[in-house]
Amino acid sequence: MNNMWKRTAQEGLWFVGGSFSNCRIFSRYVALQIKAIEEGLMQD
Amino acid sequence: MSVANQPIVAEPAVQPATVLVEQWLARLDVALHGASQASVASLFAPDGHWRDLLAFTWSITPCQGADAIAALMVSKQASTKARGFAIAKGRTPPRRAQRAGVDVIEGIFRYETGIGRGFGVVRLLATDPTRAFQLMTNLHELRGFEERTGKRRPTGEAYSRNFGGTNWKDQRISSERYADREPTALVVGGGQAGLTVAAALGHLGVDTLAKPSPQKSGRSGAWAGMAR
Repeated sequence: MNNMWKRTAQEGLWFVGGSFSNCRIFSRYVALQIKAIEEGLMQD
Repeated sequence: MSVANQPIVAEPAVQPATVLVEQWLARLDVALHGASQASVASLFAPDGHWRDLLAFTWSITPCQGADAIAALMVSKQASTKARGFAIAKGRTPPRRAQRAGVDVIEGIFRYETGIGRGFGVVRLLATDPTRAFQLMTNLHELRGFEERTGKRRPTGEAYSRNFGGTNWKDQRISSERYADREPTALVVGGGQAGLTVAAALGHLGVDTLAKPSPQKSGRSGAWAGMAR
């Protein structure tokens, strides 16, 4: 659970899962994180 | 003495929920602008909670306690540059409610950061509306990389008049082949989690290849039966 929907110790490896509502809500945040990394917008 | 004859007692003046939330947001704006840890801490109940979804921390880990929240928020504000806190139009307006057994004033607000826009929910203590019991802040979208939905959805104009040229399906088939490039993101598993993440990545324009889980070969994910 601690590694879901956010960056993990292994760069580029993401874990997602859970209920349908969880997936609908948090998929946006995974996509935003990946997009921000790709565009060089994530600062830490 | 009948009820009708009892003197009318004036109710203590109750501030409208909207005014209280506006005042709190304005104080947050000033406190963050001044990078004042003490001012930020004074905006939260001592046992207050803060859930940030990427906007400040690039993580989703909750934070508890006014001092811890203030320290984290102020330390991240230098890079976040959160500003322009205002009640979100078109959303449920601020109202009184009971949350987790606590009487609160709940307001949905929007704000800007250095790289995007966010929404938030604040629950002020009804007993002390200058302090937040719970706060959520999110990063809703990145400026310049808004989701390709609504008016931003690809129209197909580029190829719809190109008679004899490739159409949507041709382009789709050739794109899926990944003959000339590698995908940026690989989604393993075609269930609800894989599909929603792949769709969200697609809306942001991240080149994504979604594959059903190898353990389920022959059945491509939990929703395969419905998709066919």
